[in-house]
Amino acid sequence: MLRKKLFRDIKGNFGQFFTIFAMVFLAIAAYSGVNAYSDGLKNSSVDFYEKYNLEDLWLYGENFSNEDLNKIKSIDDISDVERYLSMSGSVDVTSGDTTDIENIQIELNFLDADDDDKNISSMYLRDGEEYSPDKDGVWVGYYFAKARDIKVGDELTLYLEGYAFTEVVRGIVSSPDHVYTVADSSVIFQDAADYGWAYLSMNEFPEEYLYDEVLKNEDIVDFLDSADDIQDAVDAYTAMGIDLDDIKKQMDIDEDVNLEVALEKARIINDGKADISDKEAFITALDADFNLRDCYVYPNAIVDVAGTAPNPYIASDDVEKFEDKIKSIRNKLYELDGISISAITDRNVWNSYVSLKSESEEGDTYSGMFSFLFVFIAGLSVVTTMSRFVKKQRVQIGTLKALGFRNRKVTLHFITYGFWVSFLGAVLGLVAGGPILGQPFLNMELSMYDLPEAHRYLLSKNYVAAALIVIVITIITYLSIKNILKESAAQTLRLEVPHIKIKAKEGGKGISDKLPFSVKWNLRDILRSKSRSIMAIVGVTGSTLLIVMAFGMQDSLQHYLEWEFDKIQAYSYKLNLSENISEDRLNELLNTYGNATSQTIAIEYKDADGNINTSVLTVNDSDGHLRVSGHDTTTYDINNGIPGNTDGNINDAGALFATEKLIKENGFSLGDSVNWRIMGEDTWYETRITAVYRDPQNQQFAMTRGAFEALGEDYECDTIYTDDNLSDLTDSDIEGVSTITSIETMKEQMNIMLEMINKMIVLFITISALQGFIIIYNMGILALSEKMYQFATLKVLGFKFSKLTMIYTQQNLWLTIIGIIFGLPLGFEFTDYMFKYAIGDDYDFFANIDVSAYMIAAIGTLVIMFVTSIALSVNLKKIDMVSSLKANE
Amino acid sequence: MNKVSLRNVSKVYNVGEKEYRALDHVDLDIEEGKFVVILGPSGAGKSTLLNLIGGMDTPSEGEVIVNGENITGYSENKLSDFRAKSVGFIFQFYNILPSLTVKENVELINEIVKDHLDAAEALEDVGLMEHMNKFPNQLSGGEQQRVSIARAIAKNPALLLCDEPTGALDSQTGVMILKILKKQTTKERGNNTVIIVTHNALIADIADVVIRVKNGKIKSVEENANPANIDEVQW
Repeated sequence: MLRKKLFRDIKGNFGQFFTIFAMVFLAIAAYSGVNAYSDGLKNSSVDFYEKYNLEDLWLYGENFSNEDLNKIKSIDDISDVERYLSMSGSVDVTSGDTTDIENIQIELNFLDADDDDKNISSMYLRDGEEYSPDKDGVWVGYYFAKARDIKVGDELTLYLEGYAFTEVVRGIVSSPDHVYTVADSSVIFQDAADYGWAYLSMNEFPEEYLYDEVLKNEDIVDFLDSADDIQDAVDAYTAMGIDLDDIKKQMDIDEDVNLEVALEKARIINDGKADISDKEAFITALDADFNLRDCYVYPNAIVDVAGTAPNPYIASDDVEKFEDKIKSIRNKLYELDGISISAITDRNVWNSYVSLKSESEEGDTYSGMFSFLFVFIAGLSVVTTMSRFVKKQRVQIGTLKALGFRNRKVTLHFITYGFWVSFLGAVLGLVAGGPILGQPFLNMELSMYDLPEAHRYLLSKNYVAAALIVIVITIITYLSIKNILKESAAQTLRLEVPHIKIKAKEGGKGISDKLPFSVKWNLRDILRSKSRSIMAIVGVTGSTLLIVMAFGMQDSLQHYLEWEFDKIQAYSYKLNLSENISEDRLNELLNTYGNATSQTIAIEYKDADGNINTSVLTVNDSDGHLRVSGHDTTTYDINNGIPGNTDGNINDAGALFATEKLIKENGFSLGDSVNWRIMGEDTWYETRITAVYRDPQNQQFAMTRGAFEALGEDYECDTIYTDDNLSDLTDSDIEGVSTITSIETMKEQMNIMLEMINKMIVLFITISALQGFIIIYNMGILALSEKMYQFATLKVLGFKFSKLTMIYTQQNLWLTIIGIIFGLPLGFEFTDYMFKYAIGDDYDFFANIDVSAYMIAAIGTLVIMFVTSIALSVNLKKIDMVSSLKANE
Repeated sequence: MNKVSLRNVSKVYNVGEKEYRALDHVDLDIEEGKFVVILGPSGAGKSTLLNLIGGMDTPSEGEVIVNGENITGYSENKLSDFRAKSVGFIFQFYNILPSLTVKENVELINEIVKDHLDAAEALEDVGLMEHMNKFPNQLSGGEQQRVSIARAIAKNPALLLCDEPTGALDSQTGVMILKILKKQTTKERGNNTVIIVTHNALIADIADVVIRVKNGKIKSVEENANPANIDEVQW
């Protein structure tokens, strides 16, 4: 029978129970939705990395020979090593739907021609045929192919350092080490259509390039330079009747050299008219045993460490052990005899890996913080909703007790309301959260990250959270009824008469006699209904906090963009120079675009515990175009140091500038010495941190050109900064420049990158604000129903509606103002927390909220309060004095 | 002079699809300065009658005239003014505000009526001066009802309407309350009219006029030439 009552009560109070259902549903759907995407991204990547064997180490050297590979493989715990040559080239592709040809930058990875299997970062074939070193053609990265409509069977024209060659597309592939690919580290967000990558066998390397490289050989250059003299000598000897073999002996030329052909082709080469066959004939004439494959160069190698890399998202001893293993292998590799390894990096600096990892982890902070807010707000709304319901059911509870129902039975009956409604909300939240919220977010991520077979994951923590919220709500339901059950049946059968706990003082001096009636009444009502008042304040605090966050995040992101792209990067265009730019060309560029330059160098440094870490050193000679920022975001020309945060001469040999976050995380402080070396070099420097600066998106070192050159190092700029307008130029328009980047483009890229964060925040804040609004509404209803009989009395006494509305609104106004006072600073703290911890390790963001955001939050909350109060005060007009007062009897 | 006149007054409630006629074409005149008791069983319509006279409810048909004012067509605000200036209510369960002291409860009417008695005077009248700074929960039922009366009389109303004012009180306290109410009808107190709704027939003995109500109709209106002494009333 009670079950029937349960269903009919729920039906009869549908609005209230729907509120509880909606709160729980929203909380669980948002929590599990974010987790489904965040865990999906993490676990799908871990699965992909494991299944397709992402490398553990990257080695850089001059040329890894087969013998080198065998030595590397002989190290314990290394299960495999592969070599390749990675170069930046370009490809002709059609532009959009037109037939116009665009030349787009592409990373070309020439794989070992002797290695039949690509087992490390093996290719995930999207279309076409499996890769083999014996096959011609190219295997193009999936996202680039998709963006440029490249299909299997298409013929691509590729360019490498000016050498054009064509390849047929044999396959469209994804790869674990190319999940996220950018042209260079200055690119914040890469549109897949603007940069591609591809694999091909080393056998497909443009042969003419190799012949030209051979022609740069010192002996060959000497031969070419003296070809005319040799020809003259040969002619003279021939005239003297000496045969060619003797001439070669006379001239100390190897007898196997086909001198006739060599001299003929040398003439053509020297005339600049040689084609590839002339070059081949020339080289073969000089060396009959010449084999082009011997010219293959493999400066890159990747290493697979034995054992599976542990899941980096689950803190465990295994992660630390594996890192120790990597460190040990790294040291052993450096110690190998006869191999020139200039640098070794691990996954933690591989952009594709790091970018996806930090993106996946962002979701954790959001879901952690917001789920706390959601559950908290959902709990509050359930408290208010159940309190209202129980108050309405008071007489029925009394009746059940009077009929002989035991407290336990009545308790169980009422607990089932909260339990079933929240259970239903939680289950549906779990079911709907992934597809409705998680999938769109995952899809957004997958538009940037090429992660095959990625899907949502619903881990057990979501079920635990759902179970917890159901338990919490069941407990809240129990607490709502507990006090009523303590009363006798007779007491319960009467409507609740408010209890006063205020102790009277003689003369009623607790609250001044001079205060107006409404003030006294409201003050005492707040003190009397402490829990309701506190809940109202907390509800308003939450609502205000979320509005501050919503606008504060926008302000802070805007501030960051201005800080980074107006104040720190104070130029219009940045020219990244080609690696092989000649000195003459460089000087021409400096004359044209100015002398503001920098050099970016990969370095290794030892932290306070002696561990070797990888970082970047920017040697800044930008004449104030690339500025360094103080703690308060004021920026300076590096040559002026950081006022208040400089200790020593910034132009002393090796005087370092270090970012605040970097020194904090490495246990350094201003004035400390740091051991560091340029990656690939043997010399370790020990130099002081002479200045500490702040950078919002790169935690690294910097140095003046003077300090760098004082170390004896050569300054070789790789970037030119200019304020010229280069909007009409494309990357390939300036010889010696690989990319031209405008500050506006970087801002746009950053906005695209931040769009995802923004969307998620907007979603969370909308849900939370909705919950906050429901709380304010519920609290208003609760306050009204608690005081209904008092308002009825006032109405009987002759108080007008406007006066009653004023009294009712006054209390809400006070509570709202108190909530706002708490909410505004908390909004700042929460926003600050989000920026400090939610965004990747490289970032040093902080909340920077305009006064207008606080004003909007305060006024917005007051408006919500007034609208709610006025909407609810209509009930005061409708008070049926007779039934309200009779009900009290 | 008639203080209250009801002309052909009916009050109909719609309960589901059915009509419930709480008052059915009632005509009634009550003179000024009278101590009137309205008697009747539960559901007879006596409280409805009181509520219509006090402007707490409006009739479905007919006219209600109080102090010569026809309040039938009054707006919500005008009815509030009417209740504030002309009527004092006293209920069975007092309906005093728990978060205000005794004195503050009486002073409440200062917010709405200009021509009011001093709170102290009203409290003196009901014998509560010594409790004026206490909160209601520190008072007995009788004392709380006296606060309610003090609040009602502080308005200086010409009409006091009491709905079972002694219903929740013991006999001795009830007598005390009735004495205070009766005192309001004396010339010294302004010749006010007091109307008490009750189902306690014993109170009828002390009334100047006894009105009996049954099934929404006035069954009888009896003048009591020799009202009994209140001290003699026992229940």
